[in-house]
Amino acid sequence: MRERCVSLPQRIQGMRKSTQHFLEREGVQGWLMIAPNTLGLLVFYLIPIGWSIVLSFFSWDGLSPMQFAGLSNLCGLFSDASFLLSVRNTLIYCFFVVPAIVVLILVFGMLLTRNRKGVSFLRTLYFLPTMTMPVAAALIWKWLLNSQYGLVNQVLAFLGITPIIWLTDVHHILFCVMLVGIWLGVAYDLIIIIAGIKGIPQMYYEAAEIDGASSAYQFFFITLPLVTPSLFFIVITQMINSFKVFDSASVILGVDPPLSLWNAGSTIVMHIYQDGFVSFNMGYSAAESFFLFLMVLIITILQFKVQKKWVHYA
Amino acid sequence: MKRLIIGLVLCMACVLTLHAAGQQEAEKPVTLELMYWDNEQTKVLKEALEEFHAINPNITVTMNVAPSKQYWQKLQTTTVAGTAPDVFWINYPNFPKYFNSNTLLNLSPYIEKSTITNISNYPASLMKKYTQNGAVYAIPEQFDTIILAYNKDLFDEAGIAYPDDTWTWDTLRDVAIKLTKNTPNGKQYGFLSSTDNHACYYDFMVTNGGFIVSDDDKKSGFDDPASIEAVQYLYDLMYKYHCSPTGKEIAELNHTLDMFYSKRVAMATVGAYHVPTIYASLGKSADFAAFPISPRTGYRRTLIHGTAWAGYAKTKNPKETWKLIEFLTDKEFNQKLARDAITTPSYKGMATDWVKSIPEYHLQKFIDAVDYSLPYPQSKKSEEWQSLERKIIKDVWIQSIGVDEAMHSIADQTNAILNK
Repeated sequence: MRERCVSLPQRIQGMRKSTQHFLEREGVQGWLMIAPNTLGLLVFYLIPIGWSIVLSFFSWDGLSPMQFAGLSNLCGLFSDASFLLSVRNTLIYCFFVVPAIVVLILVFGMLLTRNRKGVSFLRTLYFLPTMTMPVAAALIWKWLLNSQYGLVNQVLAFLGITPIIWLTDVHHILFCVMLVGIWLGVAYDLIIIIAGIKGIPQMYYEAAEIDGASSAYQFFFITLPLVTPSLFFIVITQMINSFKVFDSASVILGVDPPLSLWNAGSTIVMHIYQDGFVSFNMGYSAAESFFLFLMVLIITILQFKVQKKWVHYA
Repeated sequence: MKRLIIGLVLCMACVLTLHAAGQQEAEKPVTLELMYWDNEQTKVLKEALEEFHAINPNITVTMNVAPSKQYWQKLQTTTVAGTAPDVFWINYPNFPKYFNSNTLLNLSPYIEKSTITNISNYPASLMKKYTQNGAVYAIPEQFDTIILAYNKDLFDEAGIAYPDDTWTWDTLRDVAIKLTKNTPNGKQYGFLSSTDNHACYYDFMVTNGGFIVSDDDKKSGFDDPASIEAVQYLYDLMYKYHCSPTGKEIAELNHTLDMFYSKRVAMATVGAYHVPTIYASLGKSADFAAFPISPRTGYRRTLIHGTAWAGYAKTKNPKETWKLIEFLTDKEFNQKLARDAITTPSYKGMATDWVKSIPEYHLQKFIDAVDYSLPYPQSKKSEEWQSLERKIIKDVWIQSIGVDEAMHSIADQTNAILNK
């Protein structure tokens, strides 16, 4: 009895010491520091990603038991004409939206970094679309582009141009989707590019001016090379966003649009949604997202390889 | 002695806390989620739920109205995730799927104990559909049939007699042509060929002797010659006789019936659930007639469909879930639905109340349609093939594909899905 009473506090102290030692180790401390984030990443990203890769080898409707399907889901993708069309649409979207955003933010970025009155007000105005939900933005654009009552066609009519059927014409639908993407993308990236332009030391421009360089010369040989790190970031993120485009596109197309419009304007993620959450072919849908993942991965790796050629870190 | 007293006090304390705990359990606050799709019912439901909360202060109900096109997606996704709403709408076509996946709460034990619910108050034919192995899994709320609605003002203007029971598709077409004209507010049309499957082309297909999907759920009826003829009829009204707005004109509208609501179309096929909006937009100038007869078959058919209240089998609060279902299937709420002209309740005798709710309308025509109605088709993979079907039909409506080719394409792809 007595022996135990004496040894208990000692034991606790011993335990305390060993815990202290354990906690003082550098690796453990590091892990503890990043634990909150890592846990979130694990639960909300890594585990679902792993699960969806596993799922792509199964056939499952969500309610009945899963059946092993091997590679049939992944192989099926390449003979699915409708899916391949959505891959084509997404690539076209990316091909036009990313360069358009880069050009527009450079133009607006240059204008909005001038020291003029009201520039900060304008900057806020340009940033506003970022605060809007993509769904809400797409809905507003849908009204603007309405062929009968839309503002865009009213303006065109005023200019003497015959009204254009925007939203129900196979030739224009993807353009409408891109328009919303560009409008939303410019707003956010403008902030990054403005920070990039403002971060360029003034002395380069002063030196250039003394040497008599024109402002066009200054833009192409000082500003442009020195914002390439920001541009690189923008190109990478916009490219990934373009591959993931879903909400604005699905609002523009609407629920169950005519098949011809769907083929002309649907994106990969819309297909993933359609197959997964409308048709409940979960395995097939997971295979599609795995395909998208591989596509984005390869393109991002390529980007990082090519960046050495055009990105200048000052 | 001292020990005995302490012991007694301790015992008392124990019992009292237990009692208190028991009491607390009975009144512990519970939140239930309710999901349905018809926004027309929101107002009445909201009032009813306030009343329910007043009677059961510990139960709070959150309402979740999902758009009808996304309702089943939402229900299935939440079912898979194990977070389905406690009380939700189910219908006959989707009942087997959710019954087979053990999603539905067995209501029979509660019904037996209930002093309010009596299943003989609901149509036996409907109750049979929601009963499996002798146990009840859903209680009907309302039913709807599809018939012809027309704008009396536009008929009066043209001096044409209102539609009646003798009308065939030929009469419909001839009158529709007469009612089509140019007005200062744009073109006025006689009829609306709608891309709404349930409220339009499905009914034309079955009236013409065609079918949507075979009873064994193995074969699509879209390539049946009678089905094709029915859709061709609707197509011709748009592009041959020009007496219906085309798919291009209705594509950008919020609702397919918008042009009927705004008096630019004289006739359209509608469901009982459209009545509140028709009354709100057209008032007394609208009325209803039987579905027109097909010249090919010489009869009329309409699809009957209904909703029922069901509980979630894995709900954390089955007792409260039942209380809510009991309340919503009780006479009082159904009376409200009928008298406010919201929809046709399935509860015994309430249809008469509903018919009387708008005396200016011949709502009886909807009830008469029950006699010539067929049940809305039941198909396990309906979400998948119907999504495809709607896309292809809309392509027909905007003239991107011919009727014949489209109908065969729908049939082939549906057959492939059904036999996968």
